[in-house]
Amino acid sequence: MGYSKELLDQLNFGKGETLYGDTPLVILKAFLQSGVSYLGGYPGSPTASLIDAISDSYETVLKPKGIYFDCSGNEASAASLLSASISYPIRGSVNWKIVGTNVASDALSHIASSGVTGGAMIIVGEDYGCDSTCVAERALPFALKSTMAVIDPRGDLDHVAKMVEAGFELSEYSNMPVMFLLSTRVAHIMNKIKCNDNQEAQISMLNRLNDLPTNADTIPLPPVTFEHEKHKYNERIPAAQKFILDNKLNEFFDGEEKSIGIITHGMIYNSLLRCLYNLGEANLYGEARLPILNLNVTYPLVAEEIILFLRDKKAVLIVEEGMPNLIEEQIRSIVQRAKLSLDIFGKDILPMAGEYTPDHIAKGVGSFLLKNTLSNYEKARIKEKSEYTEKHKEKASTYLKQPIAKRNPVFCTGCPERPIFTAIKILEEDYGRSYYASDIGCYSMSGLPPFDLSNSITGMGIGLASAAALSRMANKRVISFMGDGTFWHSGLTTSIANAVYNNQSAILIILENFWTSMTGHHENPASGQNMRQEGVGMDIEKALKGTGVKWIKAVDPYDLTESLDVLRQAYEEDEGLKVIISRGECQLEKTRRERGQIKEKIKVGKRVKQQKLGVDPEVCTGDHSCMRYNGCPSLTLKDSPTILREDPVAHIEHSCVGCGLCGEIAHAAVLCPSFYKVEIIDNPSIFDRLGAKINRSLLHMISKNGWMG
Amino acid sequence: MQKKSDLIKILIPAVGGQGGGVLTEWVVQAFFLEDFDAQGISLPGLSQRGGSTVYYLEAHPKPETEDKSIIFAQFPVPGEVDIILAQEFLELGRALELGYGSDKTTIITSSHRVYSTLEKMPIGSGIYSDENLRKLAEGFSYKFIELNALELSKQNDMDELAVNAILLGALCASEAVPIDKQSFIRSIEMVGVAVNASLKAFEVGWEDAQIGHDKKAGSLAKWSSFVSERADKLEDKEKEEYLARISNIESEYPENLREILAESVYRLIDYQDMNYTDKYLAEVNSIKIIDSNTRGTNYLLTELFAKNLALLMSFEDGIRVAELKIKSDRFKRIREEMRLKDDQVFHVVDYLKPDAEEIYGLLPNVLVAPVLSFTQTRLFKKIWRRKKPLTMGQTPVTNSFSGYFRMWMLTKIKFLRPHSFRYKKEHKLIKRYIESINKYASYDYKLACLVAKSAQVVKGYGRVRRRTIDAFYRFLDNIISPLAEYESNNRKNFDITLEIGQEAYNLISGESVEGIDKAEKLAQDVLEQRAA
Repeated sequence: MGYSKELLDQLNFGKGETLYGDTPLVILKAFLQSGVSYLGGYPGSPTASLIDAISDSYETVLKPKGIYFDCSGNEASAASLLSASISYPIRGSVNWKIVGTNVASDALSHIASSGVTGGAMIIVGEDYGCDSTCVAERALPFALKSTMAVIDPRGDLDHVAKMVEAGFELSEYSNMPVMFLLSTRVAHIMNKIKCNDNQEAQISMLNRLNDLPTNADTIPLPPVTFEHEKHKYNERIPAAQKFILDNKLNEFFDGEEKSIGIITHGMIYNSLLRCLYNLGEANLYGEARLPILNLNVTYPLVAEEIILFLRDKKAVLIVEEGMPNLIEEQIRSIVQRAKLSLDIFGKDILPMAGEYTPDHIAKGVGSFLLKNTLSNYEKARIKEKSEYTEKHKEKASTYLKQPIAKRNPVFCTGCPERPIFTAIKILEEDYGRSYYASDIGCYSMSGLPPFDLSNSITGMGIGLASAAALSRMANKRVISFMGDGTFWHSGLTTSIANAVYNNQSAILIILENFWTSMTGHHENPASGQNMRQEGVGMDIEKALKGTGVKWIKAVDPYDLTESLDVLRQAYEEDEGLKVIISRGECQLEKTRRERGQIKEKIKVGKRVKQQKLGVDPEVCTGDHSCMRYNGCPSLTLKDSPTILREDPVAHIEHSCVGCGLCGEIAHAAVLCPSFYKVEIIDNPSIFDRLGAKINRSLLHMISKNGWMG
Repeated sequence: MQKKSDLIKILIPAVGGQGGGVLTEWVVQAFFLEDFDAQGISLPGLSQRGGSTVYYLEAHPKPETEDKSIIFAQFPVPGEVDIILAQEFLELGRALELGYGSDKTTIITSSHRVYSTLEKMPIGSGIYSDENLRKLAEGFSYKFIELNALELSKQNDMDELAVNAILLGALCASEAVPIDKQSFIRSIEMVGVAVNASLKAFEVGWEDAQIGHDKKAGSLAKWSSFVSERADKLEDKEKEEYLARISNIESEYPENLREILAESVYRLIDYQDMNYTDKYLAEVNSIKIIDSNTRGTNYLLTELFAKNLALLMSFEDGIRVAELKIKSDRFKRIREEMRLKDDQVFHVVDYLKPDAEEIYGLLPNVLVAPVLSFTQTRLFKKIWRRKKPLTMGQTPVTNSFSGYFRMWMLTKIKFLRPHSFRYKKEHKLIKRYIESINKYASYDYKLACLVAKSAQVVKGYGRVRRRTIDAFYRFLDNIISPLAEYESNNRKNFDITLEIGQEAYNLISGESVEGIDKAEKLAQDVLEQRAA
């Protein structure tokens, strides 16, 4: 949640000093140590915090050094930034999450074809475990098809920093852009590193280029294009291989059991080592009984290196996470060309898909050892140990008859996106279910309980377009959701322009909350300022009008009656595109900003009116209808005050921010009279006090056994 | 290769957005201060959005030689975790279900619950049982320490996030990690998040873990205070009669029914009057006789009946709601819940929206009945085209005179209640309820209990209540009755009725009352199978 000044000050540390921080901070430090001139990227987990580190340090650290930071509009714009390095000795790096590579690939292909003069590095958030990604895919295939080197570092921050620096040199030496894979777990390490001195960028915003000579051979236009292709395979790859070999970028760890060995890559090395340690085959310092070759560069592979490792072996295990298993396939072909005769094991004994955690690979590693260990004593020990974890998991998962209740993510307390889904849920009573084409953002959670409003998620800015055919071929209303970030990322062209152009009949609900919240609150064109904190406000409504959308209505999400009303209008209209903009700032961001201000106001004695919601536990009968329309974290359950009711009643936690939705729901859906709103006035004015006094005395007269309010 | 080592592996299961990241960082920093090598991993995903998440950290004493360094793992391994420091109870359960606990694990957990959406949604209770979680924790730990960190934070009026520092204090007190108290305190200062509040919370957790917990007070004292609590809310005359009824209850009913009856009697006096209450007691008594003639029942049927009859007889109509909304202790409760200070002025705005039936339901049946039967005619449907139900939305400020007065007026027509349309309707249901229980008691005791319990599904207001009532009738008519008749004619016991009935009950009290459709289908299928 933002980097403190203390943390960022470490970015100016020199040789020998120790920096403490998380991986993004360490990577940024490594950028500075490599003398980068420009940075950019599009936020997305697990690389989101890298953008935070960059934007938080821009004013105090980067700008003074003349380093340019581009708040890229999407991954394609980020990728195209790298063209600065094509013809000029300028180092730069951009970043995005794995799926962003799909958006970026057009630019990437062209830049990779031209090749680069200055070091160009793409930090890709590899998320094969799908902690925060909708599809499981890896970056390696992209690199292979466009001929870019791929660095996949071990899970160790000193090593990460070292590989970033090596990456820029590799890129320059081989004229290839370099992909640097930042896997989810590596991206979230907190540890210390030993620093080096920062390097000053030769070319920067401070010392600019005077002229821009361009070599025609770098422009991907036939006939040159074919020359690029030859250049890739005849010069760039061999150069990269030489550099990798000379600088020992891949690591060889020797072991006594020379007849067998393991080849693995990146952070999987850490998991493998822990797995071997648990099997009693290695110690914590990485000293294993059998030799290991760890590929920190997974493309291109270096045949000599592989052959050297395999020459005297009778069997090898390749521990490669993810499909397609391109490393294993390449090694098999290297071995075949070199006519080595050894057994190669890989996905045949290891799990095909899924994240390679230590326990996930234990059984496979175990069976490899069993196949290649002679002594029966050893066999028994390995078998027992490699199966222990699985047995233990089995025992634990079956210990209770009733599985632990699931907990799915929910919209935050007071979230301005929730009410629209509540409204749609309420309208389903009269209009039935529609086809809900969801998109990428917080609102993807509309597909989860309690709303379950999602028939498809197709990708960033694509929701509405994905329903184009259905809106003509199904007798159902098509409703799509889109956030402001997504709108400016690509939604405007991919979905809206397309819908207008094809006169698509659908309802598009744009949730404008002024932040890209999903990734941890990044500015987006709707925020009124960019990530360099420079004021820019881009107007969604104007943009829509510009594309020729006729039916546009804006609603205040917290006014449920209004939303219901506008939605009904949209439901009744049959032809054309109807756009509803639900405008309300992200509650998290709002509260964070205002909490302090309000405290201050109260302190200096200003009149402040705040509100909170509550439920009367005696009035609530515990039918929980309100829950099924809401899903607010602050609206929860507690025991009924009367022992006669077995089921719990609704209850609102003190964390309530007083958005009032639950009360609105009770009204709009005609649920129950249990909800109430309390308006709390600090530093009340003379009138407030007088009014309260009069009420109190009047009430005292009529109320039973005295007034205690 | 030696397996034995000083590697310490700590797993921190948490609910997203509750500050688990800071908790992890405190521990990492504390290890650094103790001259350990350490690595913290904070897991991402949708963590900030209240989903379940885990943090993980590993620590090891610095190697003697510079050239050697520890290869840390980024993933915990099931069965290999030394300490589980759980921020919330269900998340502890999840971690254990995944196998992270074992006989070498020390568990330090907060026992408070943050309910998940899926637990909140069912019409009945979907809350996962704490007993299960405890069973799991005892089954997969070497040492199991629990404290209710949220409760502690409330007692010391701190915010929810204090839970983390409280747990840190408990971790320190448990001596499960080789970290000195001073280092923990120092690390809180270094990390620099809400330092003072956190230090205070840390001490709270530390002390609590030192003392441990004491259990509840004696039952006798509890009973007398239970009675006086209620008696004191009544006016003198009623109070007298209330206490008279209580002494009857003490003499005539077994101990495990006392509190339920004391509560019910109070509720009904407060709801209507003494003779309404006596009607109730008479009904309960007649069921009690069934119990006293059956051996070893522990008066279960009477208990279930007493509970639900009281609830049915105190159906929430406009008058009841008005009364509850202006009870003086209501505003006291609100003051406390909202943590209001005396120098603050506050307004209580109620969201009230009775629908047509809830309004005309208050009117005498003699007036409503004919009009209502007219609305069912085709003629009426011709004139009246409006589809949306009639409602009367209002948001009175209930602690202002005008708002309060409106409610107060309504409470004054209480005496008309027994003649109201709604009263007739609800008492038709009550009559049916009582008859069914007597009838099925003559068939099978368990079956009677099931029917007695099933009245719990009747709840809610307006539309919702009408649906649940409808579901309840259908439950009796289309599920229990046909199955019971079938079994009483063709079999010796009522296993099928009990099994299907229970399943049907779960269906209606589950996702939504529409579960009744499934339930009916189920019963039909069973009967058809049998017939064939």
